[in-house]
Amino acid sequence: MKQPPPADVPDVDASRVGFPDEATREAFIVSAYDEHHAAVFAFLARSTRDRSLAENLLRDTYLRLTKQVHHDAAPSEVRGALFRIASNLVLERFGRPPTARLWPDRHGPKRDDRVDPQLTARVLSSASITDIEQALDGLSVDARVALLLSDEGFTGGEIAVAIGRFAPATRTLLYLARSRVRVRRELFAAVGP
Amino acid sequence: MSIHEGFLELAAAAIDFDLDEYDRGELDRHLAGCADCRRTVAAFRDDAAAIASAARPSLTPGRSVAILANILRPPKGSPRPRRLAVATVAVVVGAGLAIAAMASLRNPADPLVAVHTSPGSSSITRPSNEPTSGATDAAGLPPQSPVGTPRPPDPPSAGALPVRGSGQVQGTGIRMAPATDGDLYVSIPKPPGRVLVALLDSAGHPRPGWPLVVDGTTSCEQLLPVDDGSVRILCTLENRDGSNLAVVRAYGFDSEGRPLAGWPIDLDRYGADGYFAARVIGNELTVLAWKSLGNEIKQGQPAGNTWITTVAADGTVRDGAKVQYGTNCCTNAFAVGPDGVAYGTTHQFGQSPSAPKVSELLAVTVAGVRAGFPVAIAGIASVPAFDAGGRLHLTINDGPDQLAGTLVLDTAGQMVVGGSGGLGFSATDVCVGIEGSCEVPAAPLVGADGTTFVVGAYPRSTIVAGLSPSGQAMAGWPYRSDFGHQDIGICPAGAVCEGYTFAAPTMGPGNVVYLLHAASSTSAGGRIVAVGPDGRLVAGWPVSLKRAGSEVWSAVVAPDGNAYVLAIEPEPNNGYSATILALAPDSTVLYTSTIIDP
Repeated sequence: MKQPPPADVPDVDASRVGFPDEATREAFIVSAYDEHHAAVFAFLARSTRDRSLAENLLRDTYLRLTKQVHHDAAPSEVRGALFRIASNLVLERFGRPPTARLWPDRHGPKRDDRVDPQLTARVLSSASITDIEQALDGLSVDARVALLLSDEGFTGGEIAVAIGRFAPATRTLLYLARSRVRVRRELFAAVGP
Repeated sequence: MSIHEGFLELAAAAIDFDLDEYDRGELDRHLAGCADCRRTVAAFRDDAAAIASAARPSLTPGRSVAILANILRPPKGSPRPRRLAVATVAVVVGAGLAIAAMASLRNPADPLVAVHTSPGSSSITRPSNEPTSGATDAAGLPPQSPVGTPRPPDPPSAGALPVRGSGQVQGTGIRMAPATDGDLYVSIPKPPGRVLVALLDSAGHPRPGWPLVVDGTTSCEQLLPVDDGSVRILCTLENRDGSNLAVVRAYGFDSEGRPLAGWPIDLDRYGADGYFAARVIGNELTVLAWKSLGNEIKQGQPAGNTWITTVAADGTVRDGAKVQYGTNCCTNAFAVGPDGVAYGTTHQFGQSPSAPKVSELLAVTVAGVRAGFPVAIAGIASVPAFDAGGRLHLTINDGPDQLAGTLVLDTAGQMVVGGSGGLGFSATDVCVGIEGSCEVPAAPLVGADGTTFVVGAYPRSTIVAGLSPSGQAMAGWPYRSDFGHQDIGICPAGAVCEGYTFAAPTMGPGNVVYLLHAASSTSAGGRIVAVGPDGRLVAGWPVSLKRAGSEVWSAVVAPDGNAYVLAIEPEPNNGYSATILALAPDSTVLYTSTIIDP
């Protein structure tokens, strides 16, 4: 059997954590949930355009936070950490296809990479969608996540860290995303969504 | 990208990034005179406002409570956090098998990249009066005589370990190279203007005659041990007269620290301003030397000449044929192969991020540019790495997402079996920095048999693809970790720093891959992971540094499998020490030797 990867090997003895007992750990999680779950859920739902999936990812976001707390790695800045985790979960779900998908993508017919077709279809079937939501939906997942993180008030550097890109690449990604949103909104204004 | 587009990107960046004073001024000046640009910038902000005002989905109170309950007490069958590890492993194993299966179905005739020779478009050209094929052996070349007045000999003096200073500041300049019999050569910058070079024995103690202090020197970047126990060292001298280029000096010492007869060699006295790559072959030092053709090079004009220089054990220097190189060549791009030929890549990044990227593989022999080169490659190609047969292995990042693959060529520039299909991730660049200067993937790790490993190390995760000599994904790979890369140098916590490099992974005998990870939290230290050829952690590994805030900056592995690791650790006096850890293949600590003490 393959041994666990290092990510799952706690470096630090849990007895040394700042939380004296399980109840304190739980209180930390509950507080983080009360304070931030609404914003994180909204971000996830807007990123994925799928409420059911967003609920699952919200749970997974807090489970990862719980894991960090149990490993004495509770973040000092909880909101930022939650959005980083949530961003990664969205990107893992949509933006980082496995090699089995990438190989035909690389050599097969070209398509708009990293825009999940099921996701697009789901969005286009909604009658109440606004032009800005449609414009956002035309973006690749990482570009959409970056723009929504910007909307949440994160700086470019923080967005870069959250989506796992370097600052210059994130800057270019955000510029291209904003340009694409602009073009689509102008198109919608001219001919309707 | 047009001028207007460039400023629009700057305007968009201003929404999320702090512009410096210069960029802000330039942007304001441009917008003042460009009505269309002002409209687009206003539209960007209108779009941002529209995103902010769009409805935010919300949970019903009932769902909110149910999810919290699920988080605190996962339902039966749903793993609690610590158990989650096991579930994750199962997924990783499954993914690895799927990838291996996919790779085995790949048509081996489908190369990842297009390859063709392109003699007319190279950044490096052959002078019309130079041969392009034939002997690559330097022995037939006439010895060169130095020109100019010799500098004072300035012989190295005796030194002592540890060096006083800052491991964090001087650590980037530390070099290690395994020598014979479990010994280790180390060079340590000792500013201002000195470098200490030591030969440590298998217990971590300096050998008799060592360490030496090399005065008037800022760094010794190349430590090249020779099988007879001696060493060749390439150092950069202080630029005392303020000229543009510091002199490179090649030293030769025997195993007891005594200078070899005929050494040192100042490369400028043989017409060289510097070198792109170096290697010891037998007891001969082979250097790809260069000389600039001036400070101001016009577009399309050659920037300088480069050539193979060899220095025999007795200090005899021989120069190969000079070839011209262009402005986009060749720093950090070349490696000298076991055949004494320098192979390297140049790159064309295109005018925009989405533009196709092209690389050229070059080969410089003592006779000039080798016939069959340059070879054009689609994508951004790494500097080559070599297997025991001398074949060239390159990492290629290609496509809109810069996804990695590998390519294998023989020494004639012909593609041979061993290149991979798409690996599904972007290989780690050699560094992060000014656009275009660093966006080159690191070379693959290549075993003697051609087994290849490509590393994608990111801020919070690492993936390593393991490829058989035939280029197929090996069972058990890719290896994945939630630990990120370790950056080297001083970069404040939380900042995104440019121009820094990463702690490079390395490889030992038996195709064991060593990864250097940053700490998982501020309360932990960095770690070294040894991954065996089966994709599993080697028994006894990982090795984690105990001290919070400590980092692993480099590692080298000797032919006997012992690894030597450079640890930079915070000390109580707010300084940083530098310590070498010698680790046996089973992770047993053989010794620790502090080389910088604050």
